[in-house]
Amino acid sequence: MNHQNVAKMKRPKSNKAGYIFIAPAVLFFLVFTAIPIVVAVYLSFTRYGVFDAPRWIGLRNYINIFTVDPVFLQSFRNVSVYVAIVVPSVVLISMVVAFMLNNRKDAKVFRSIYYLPALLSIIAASAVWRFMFDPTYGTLNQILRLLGMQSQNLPQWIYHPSTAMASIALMSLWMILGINIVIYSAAVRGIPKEVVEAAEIDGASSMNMFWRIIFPLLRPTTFFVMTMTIIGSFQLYDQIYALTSGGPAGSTTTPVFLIYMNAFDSFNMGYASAQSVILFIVIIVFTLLSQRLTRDDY
Amino acid sequence: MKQWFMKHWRFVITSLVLIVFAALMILPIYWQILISVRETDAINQVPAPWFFTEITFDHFRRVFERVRVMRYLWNTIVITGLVIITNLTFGSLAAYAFAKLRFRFRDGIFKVLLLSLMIPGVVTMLPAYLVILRFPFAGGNNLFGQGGSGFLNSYAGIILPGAITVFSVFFLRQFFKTIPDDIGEAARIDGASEFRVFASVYLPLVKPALITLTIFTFQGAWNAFLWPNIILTPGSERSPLTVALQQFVAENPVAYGPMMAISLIMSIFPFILFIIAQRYFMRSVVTTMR
Repeated sequence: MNHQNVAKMKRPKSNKAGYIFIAPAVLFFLVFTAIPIVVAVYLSFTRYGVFDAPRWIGLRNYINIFTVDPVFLQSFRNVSVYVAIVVPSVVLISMVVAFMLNNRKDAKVFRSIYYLPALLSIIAASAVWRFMFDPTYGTLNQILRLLGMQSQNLPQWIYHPSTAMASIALMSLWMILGINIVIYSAAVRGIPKEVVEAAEIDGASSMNMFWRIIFPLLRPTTFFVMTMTIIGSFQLYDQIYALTSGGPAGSTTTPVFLIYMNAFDSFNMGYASAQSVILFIVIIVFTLLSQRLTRDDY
Repeated sequence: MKQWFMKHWRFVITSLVLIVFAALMILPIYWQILISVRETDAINQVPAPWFFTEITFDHFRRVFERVRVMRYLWNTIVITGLVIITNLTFGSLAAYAFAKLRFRFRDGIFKVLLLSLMIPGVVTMLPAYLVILRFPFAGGNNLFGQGGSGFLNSYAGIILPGAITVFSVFFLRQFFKTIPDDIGEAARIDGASEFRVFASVYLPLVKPALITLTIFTFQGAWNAFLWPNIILTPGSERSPLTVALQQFVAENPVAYGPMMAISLIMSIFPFILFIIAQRYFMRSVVTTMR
């Protein structure tokens, strides 16, 4: 202990090297994060089309988003369809699978298999699922045919407004389950053995054990997975661009897809900025909520 | 037999459920491989056979010759490699300073960086595009960023915004923090420069964290689509595989054979990396929780 104090005294109070070490990181932070945030907020009050100077129009963009133009609100409704399918499925399936894998010798093999889809890029996965969803040749309808479904009843998957968002949700679910199984497995491993053993001695059935003990004890993890999945859902983009381009009939238009189209297709940079600021606020609310709900976990 | 089942029925049933679930998860990848080596005529067959029939590598040959996949694969490798190098180098440098060196405003600056982790990428996307477009002295621009196209349609434009992420700094800082201070003192007393202390004393001790961050950065850069797609002009020579594949799909929406071939080529690298460094993949997932 003593020599440590001596060492501390010899050390210079302020280490100038520190500034040099953090300089590149801080510079990149300023240029590509801090300044852009300020610019985004500024542009949201202007009409701006890249090629001429931005023109200040006050709150016009924000007013239009909520009154004249119904598409942005529609995009949030589309996301809520996606969330309603993905979030409960992710929580339930990952938790049950992690519970089943616990204490198994072959758990690692299964976890690796479940993780495989997460290794694909969303663009590659979308190409794969474009085939899966093909109404004529695709694997999904082939399975339904094998199960005896009549040709005229076969779903059109990404090609019909009533099923498009659900199809996107199905593909995303396939991609993110493995990651969440790993997260839940770590959490299940953290449950004290004594708790489980005591329940076993009391003669609790697997079902009882799961719903009465595992499920409540995993609540912090569940909140984490839920909020993270919701935050991810608001930023849904790649698979929309790759599979449906927001259609059919606008049923898969998401906020980020809309922002992209406004900014880089119709060059309404000001309007797109206003939409991104609103999206930012929505996401921040969920982030803060997540921090509050999961705080006691760590 | 019956007795054995009575005793182990729980294990048997969970095993069955886990195996069926594994089969469902693999099913799309199985079909991806199946279609990539199947002749176009056979792909357009209803009902399609569920097993490998006559295997052909025509789709692979075609995408290498006509779609110039090698070119795009090279772009992806260069972009991913550079992003990993810059993040590891400058990320660890800053992380070390924030964790181990004492200087004025250190904690204040770090808190601001930390806050920015909450900002979703979509908010900075538009202005970052403008920064790339108006970058002084780049792509024919003058000092004020006028007159040219900046870093649009270049590797730099794709790489720069993600070259040194706050996440890298924050992630590595946690690991530097766990190393005791007095380890570096001996070297300092021997007259080593601050950089030497960092590079030869502290850096080797955070190697596992560097590997985890490499995996993390690899996945982000290898799979990135939205940003490169914005920065590049359509059909650009500098397209990474994601952008090239999407372009191919847009032009040939039902050419499933070549589509699967490209997506397989793209996926092989992450698969290999996963086999080599599986432990670090799992670790990178669990660290997202912190």
